[in-house]
Amino acid sequence: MSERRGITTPELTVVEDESRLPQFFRRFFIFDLRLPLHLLRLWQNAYLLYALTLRGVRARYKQSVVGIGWAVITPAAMTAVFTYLFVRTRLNEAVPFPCPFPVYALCMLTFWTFFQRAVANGSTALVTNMDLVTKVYFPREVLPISSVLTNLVDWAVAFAMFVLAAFAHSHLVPRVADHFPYWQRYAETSDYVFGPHVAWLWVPLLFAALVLFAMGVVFFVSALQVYFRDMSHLVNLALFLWMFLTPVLYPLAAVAGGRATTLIILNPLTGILDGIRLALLNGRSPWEHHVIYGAGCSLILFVAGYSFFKHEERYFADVV
Amino acid sequence: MERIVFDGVWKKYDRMYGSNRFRGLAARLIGRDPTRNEFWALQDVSFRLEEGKSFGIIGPNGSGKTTVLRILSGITHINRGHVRVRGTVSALIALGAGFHPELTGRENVYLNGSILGLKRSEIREYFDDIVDFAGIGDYIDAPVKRYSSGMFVRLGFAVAAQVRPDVLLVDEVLAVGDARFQARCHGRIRELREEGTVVVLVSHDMWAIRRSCMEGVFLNHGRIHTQGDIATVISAYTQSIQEQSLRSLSESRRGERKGLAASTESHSACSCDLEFRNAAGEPVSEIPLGDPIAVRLHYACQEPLRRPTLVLTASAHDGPSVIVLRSRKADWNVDVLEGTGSVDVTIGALSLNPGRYAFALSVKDEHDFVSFAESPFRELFVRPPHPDWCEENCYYVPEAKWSEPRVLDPASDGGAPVPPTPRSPAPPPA
Repeated sequence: MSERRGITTPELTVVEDESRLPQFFRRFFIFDLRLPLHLLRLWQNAYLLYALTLRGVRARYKQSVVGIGWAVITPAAMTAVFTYLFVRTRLNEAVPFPCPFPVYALCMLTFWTFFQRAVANGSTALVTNMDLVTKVYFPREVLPISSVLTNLVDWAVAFAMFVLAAFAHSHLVPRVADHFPYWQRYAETSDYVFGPHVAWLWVPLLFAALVLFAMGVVFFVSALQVYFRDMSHLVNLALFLWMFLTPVLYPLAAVAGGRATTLIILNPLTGILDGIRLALLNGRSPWEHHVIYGAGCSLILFVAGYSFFKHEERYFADVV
Repeated sequence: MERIVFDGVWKKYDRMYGSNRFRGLAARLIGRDPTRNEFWALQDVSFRLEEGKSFGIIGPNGSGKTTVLRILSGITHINRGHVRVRGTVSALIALGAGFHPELTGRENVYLNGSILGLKRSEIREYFDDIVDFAGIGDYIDAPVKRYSSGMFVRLGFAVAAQVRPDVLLVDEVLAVGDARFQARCHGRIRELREEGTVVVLVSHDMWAIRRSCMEGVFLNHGRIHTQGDIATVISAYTQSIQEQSLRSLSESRRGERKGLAASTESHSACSCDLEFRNAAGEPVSEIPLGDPIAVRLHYACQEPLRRPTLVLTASAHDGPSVIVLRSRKADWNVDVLEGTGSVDVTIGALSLNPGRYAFALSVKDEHDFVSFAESPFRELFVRPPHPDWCEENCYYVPEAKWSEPRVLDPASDGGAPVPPTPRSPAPPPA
């Protein structure tokens, strides 16, 4: 009976007023050395993280008829539209895709949709949970992290659908094509087989890099959203533009010295997504410069975002 | 063991933007003073709390009481100072925090429990207790948005009640809910206190504070006004409140009186005042409860007043008149009032509830209609009989005698009414 339960709060000591400008910039650019402590604390709150993630998953499709089916419908519909466009304009033949366009697009859209929704949802994580932030103490990063993790469920469903569709594409298209003359030409151009490869073992690692990258972005964006509600609009616009700077609807091989090339190369998502493409679709080891660059960036962004977030955390309840 | 160390804490807020430092940056860029909207919500507030003690925080609105709770619960940061809470904290300020309207009661219990720092196994163990305590029955599997607001709060409290913290923070938000619910809340707080939990209570209800706390602090504009033993703190608070409201009361009355005096300018050839004297005839400004008092009314008339009426009123600090004495009703008939002099009004026993009262005198004409003169307000403090006295919310405390309990004997007392539900009889006096 005498066992104590409840929340433990950290000790606060402030020797002088911290709201001066130089400290702000110092904190901004230097990684927080107490990061292991923060991570330990986060681990102690793992159940809270789990409960909030579960809440997000359950609440998202409550009182909806199709429910989690939307996680499949969205990328499938986008793939269908883009396939129609690309096939009608013969772009899929003009551009050197590493595999048939529908497979490529569906794969990339699955991962891109995860990233896009994670960032979009995560950016408002603190503001929509204002009542929690202003009333109860817990490590605040639980909120953006859980909103990123919430999207994992959608991603898992969409990914499972992609795998099924890719297998179906490899094995069904040649047979179906016999009965549909229009598909015959398409079937002749693609002798692509989506099969199990050892290189698939790279995919979880690269996906982890993608999740960390999303979290890093969300840390910055959700903290800034507390101060400026403009952030969510800005983020939606930026995500729209970002998609075109990422090889989602075109292969990286098609990028050959345009104006935007530098931006596309510098974009860490390019490396991560292309690494996933190499391993998953082409069964090759993604041990290449741009992939390593992308994964490294995601780690750095995560640490920087986490540090920034932990520093801003203390002001959230007052400002939000 | 010291549970709470709250040492020299300063906390600053910005009236417009909370404490948005980015706005401050923007203001600096366009050459505005970024600190122009800032104010100190807490200035150098310190207190320490040992294990097993309870602490009351009182003060007028906006004095920083809730800020202290928010800092203790770890929600907001401080600008200067040192805060340490040893052990676990729980705040009864957020009943049902994090409840998602779409989720069922069951799902929300787990979610809310995890937010309040419970482990999953603990929630599972106490789940049935929680549902019983909330008294919501089958609704537990319905979405929370279908609940009545009472069910919502009850479920929130049922979860919060399972938390067994070292430090419990209670804001007066507890005043929600019906009487039974409040009784349950207070019962739960008492239980925890008896188990050694430190309770920090913020309330305007002096009785609640008085009953639960041994020590306390009176905050005024973010500074400590009085600190220490709860009785001293409470009396300092009530005195300051009464002084303040009396001041504003007399200011507003003075305004009215100015208007009145303007309308009767031709008769301003008279002035009056009053003072208090105790039984020994010494001028006083405070008397103990139940003592006799004499009010000496001074007047100075430039020209004789025919058949005047004197009206002596006393107002309580919160507005209402508690005494009105009109000379005509006491058959005090004086034909002419002239020159300078005084009249004594003797009151047998002033049975006013301890506190501050404002007395005023007005001199009126024969028909008790036109006012010739109004005295300034004079304050009288009725002292409580002993320092532990806690003010009741009333004005009149007559002297009363309480008898010993009398046991009814139905056999010999045929004619007397028997109480409808006989309780267990009191033991006969030894």
